[in-house]
Amino acid sequence: MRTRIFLAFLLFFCFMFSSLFAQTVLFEKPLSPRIANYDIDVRLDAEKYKIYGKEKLRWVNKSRNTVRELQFHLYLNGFRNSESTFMKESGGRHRNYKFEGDGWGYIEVKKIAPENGADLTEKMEFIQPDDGNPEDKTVFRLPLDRPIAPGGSITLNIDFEAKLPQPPFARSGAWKEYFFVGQWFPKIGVYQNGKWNCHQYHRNSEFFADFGVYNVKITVPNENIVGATGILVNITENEDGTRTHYYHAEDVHDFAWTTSPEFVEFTEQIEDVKVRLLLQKDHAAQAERHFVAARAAISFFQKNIGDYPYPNLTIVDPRRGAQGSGGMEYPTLITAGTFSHIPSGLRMPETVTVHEFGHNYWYGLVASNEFEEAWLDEGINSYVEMLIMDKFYGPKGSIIDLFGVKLNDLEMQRSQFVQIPDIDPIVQPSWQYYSSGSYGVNSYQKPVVMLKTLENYLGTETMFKILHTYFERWKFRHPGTQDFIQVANEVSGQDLSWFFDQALFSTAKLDYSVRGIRCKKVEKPKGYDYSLLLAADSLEEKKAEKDSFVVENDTLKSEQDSTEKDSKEFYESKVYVRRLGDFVFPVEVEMVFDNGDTIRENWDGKGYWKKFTYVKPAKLVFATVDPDNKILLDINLVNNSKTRKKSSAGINKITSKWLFLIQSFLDEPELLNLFSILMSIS
Amino acid sequence: MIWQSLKYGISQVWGNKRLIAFYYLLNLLLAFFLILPLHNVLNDFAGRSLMGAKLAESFDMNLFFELIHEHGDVLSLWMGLVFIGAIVYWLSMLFLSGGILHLFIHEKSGTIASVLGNSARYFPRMIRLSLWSLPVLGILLSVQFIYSGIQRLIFGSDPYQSVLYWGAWIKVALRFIIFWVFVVIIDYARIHLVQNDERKTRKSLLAALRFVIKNPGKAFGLKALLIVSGIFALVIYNLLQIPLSNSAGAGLFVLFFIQQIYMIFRSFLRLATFSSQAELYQDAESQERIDNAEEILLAV
Ligand SMILES: [Zn+2]
Repeated sequence: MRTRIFLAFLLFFCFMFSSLFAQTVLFEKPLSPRIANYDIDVRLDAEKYKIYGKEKLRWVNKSRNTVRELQFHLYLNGFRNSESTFMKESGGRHRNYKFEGDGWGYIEVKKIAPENGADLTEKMEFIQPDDGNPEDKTVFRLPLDRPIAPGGSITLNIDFEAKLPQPPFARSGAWKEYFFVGQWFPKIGVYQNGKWNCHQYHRNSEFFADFGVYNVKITVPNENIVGATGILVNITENEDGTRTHYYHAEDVHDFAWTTSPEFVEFTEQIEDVKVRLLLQKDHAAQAERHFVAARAAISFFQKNIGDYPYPNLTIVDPRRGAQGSGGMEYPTLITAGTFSHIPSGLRMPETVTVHEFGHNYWYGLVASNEFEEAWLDEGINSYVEMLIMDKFYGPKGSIIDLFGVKLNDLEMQRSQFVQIPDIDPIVQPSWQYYSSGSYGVNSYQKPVVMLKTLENYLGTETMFKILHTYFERWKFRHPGTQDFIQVANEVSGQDLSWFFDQALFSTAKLDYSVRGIRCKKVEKPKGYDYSLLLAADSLEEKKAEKDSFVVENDTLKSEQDSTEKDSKEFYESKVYVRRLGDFVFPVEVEMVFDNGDTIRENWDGKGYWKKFTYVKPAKLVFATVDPDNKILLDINLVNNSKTRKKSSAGINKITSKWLFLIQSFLDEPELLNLFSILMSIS
Repeated sequence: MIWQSLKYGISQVWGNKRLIAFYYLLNLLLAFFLILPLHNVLNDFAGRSLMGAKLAESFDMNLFFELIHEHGDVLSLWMGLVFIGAIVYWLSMLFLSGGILHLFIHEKSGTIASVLGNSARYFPRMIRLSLWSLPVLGILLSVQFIYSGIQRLIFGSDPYQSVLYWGAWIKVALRFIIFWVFVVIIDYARIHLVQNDERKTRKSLLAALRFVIKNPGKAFGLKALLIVSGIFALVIYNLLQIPLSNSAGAGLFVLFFIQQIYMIFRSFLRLATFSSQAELYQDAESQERIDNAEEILLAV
């Protein structure tokens, strides 16, 4: 009896004990390989913009090699001084924001030691695998005393201290009471193909990391609100007027957090995702705009791409003066981009929210290498962003719908692509592009236009199936460009390498043009021995049999025609189509005649030009290559068609409108004053 | 007095309808001259493309961006041309103001030739007056910096974006008011100059300042009436243009017609401003003279 009571007591004690220390579990079965797992205790010194961290990293060697050294990122050292690779490449500029003043940031590893092992701090060595810049301290290697065998693991205890850039620059930093803490802790690289993939921090590059479990305890002043990757486990009050917010995340490959006493909080359940919005006070009126965009994005992705496995999403609105931390993605936490009183016809807040949420799929779940193949994340994500924006806010004016000016997402993306279509290929290490403009076009806009062209070529259903298959197959893994191509080939049932070779790996420009159209009446043959002219003879014969026929590259091709049988006058119409770029893509060519007849021809585009000749009892009115406007990669759509006669109605309409604008401007130049309102919100 | 001046001014302009046509045509011709290069560029670029033809239905952003890409340098040259055009227009307005005011003050009705002749006579002084007025404009414009200072004082150096947003509206309104105050002063300075054939433009400027300070209600009241009618016309124009803005063919022609009616009204308004302000100034001055005479009589 006594034993029973004792046993019951013991069981009860064990239960209490275990529940106190039990780890929160999100997923019964791990969704990812969980290679890099972090427990971090971090304390914020809000006055000094500093953080002090104690990190316990458990790294598992899932490779087939014995690992003798580790490599780590220290991203915040990109802002350590003007000589870092990031600062040298950027000249202190990132996305329209300039790094000014004295707000340098840094990170220092105070101590690094394996659990139950000797202190290795002295063995740390900064390396610069990408550019050899000795001043760059964003990557270090750590030789190990004891190598890690395949299947083995190591647990390291790391003490670090970091200062956040002020104001936030290139995603991370602090401004007044607002902190956005990203790329903030010593982070292990990815061991891949027998070596470390651990690049320096560059101006034009994002990140690459392994999945794992994160337990992060964030200590901040009492009044502060905290948002972070993962779910909130608990908040404990400390005696020194601070609170510790404990966050837990599983199967993610990064962790970011933010804190400010000023956030206004909104929450909404969207499908199976709890969305939490942390807005700045003077943006509180825009909560619904963010939620509408989040609803559009979440429902589109869950319906067409795949399940969002995490229970929540946090959207953080950066403080005024801290927009350098805006428009960025982290697992289950994204940052917004908006301004006070932004008109509803300027959909910047919506676009940013849709875009950054999408990254949770193409960066968060499908963890491609953003250093080396940025398009796999930014490009595919921008393409889906475009689909969502143009579907939910379009088809016209999905991005701008203001004062009669309408611009949709696809047009916006294409407009940037056509400005610099051929400096670099899409697939290239991020820091090796000609310029940040070229990095942008090749990582964002050209992939959008390319994927839209592919969608039009394969059909929307097939395209969605490709994205869905790619996502399902590669989530929680590290795919490369070839993996995407393989999925596309497999799903479409065709070898698309002819397309991807040109679109992804070359700078070939795609430009088809109707260079000329001619139309003249067919005259009776004149002169000597005309009966020897085969064409003329056969023309007469054919005329007798059929109403019209096509002469195509010297071969005669007859065709049925519906024109009136009693038509007497015949016209020879010629269409000259040229391929002006090196990009070969099969095209349709459409000819429209003045009796309403329409002829569509297919051209594989392989030659440099193609001539189409028709003899019909009707005159050619116009000819168009790609009449359905499917090939968005074509850098010049204006030259895709040619009309036989000049059509001035459209141009007259535009010029008459502009005439009035100029008349008004001359008469009342003071009205330009009103434009300063638009300037004030941007 | 305001109503009387306005009524008189309007009737005077009505009696010189050729002037309205002259003003309107000047605006139209210059605008036409400025739009021509753009029309030609567009015509060469898309005149034989279906995309150009489809502009009749709706504006095509792809065409717009390709135009910028292909002819960006031509377009920026064109923007420069429009800017120069604006300066030329302003100078010709300045040139004509002397002749027009001379007509309204001294002749009541006259020919375009006489207006041009008188314009030439006053033009050097009008230029000098404009130069003298620059410091006045500078002083007036500094008011908006006072606002910025007040904003900083109340909201500090780190205001909410909404403060900046509403501040921008307040500054826009301030700039409009400053501009109108400035224009009123300059208008009366020109009237003084023409009425008294004043050689020293500084004197005219001071006289105008004195007049505006003495008669703010009348001076700004009349201007306000004219501004309000301008805004009223703009509102009516906008109501009419919205249903037509996307039309082609006949609708476009109707739109063009409405636009030109609006511009003719603007020309009329500009002239009515001159004539009624001149009338107001003369009235107020003769009233002052009578008052002074009475005072002298009383004193005697
Ligand atoms: Zn992105």
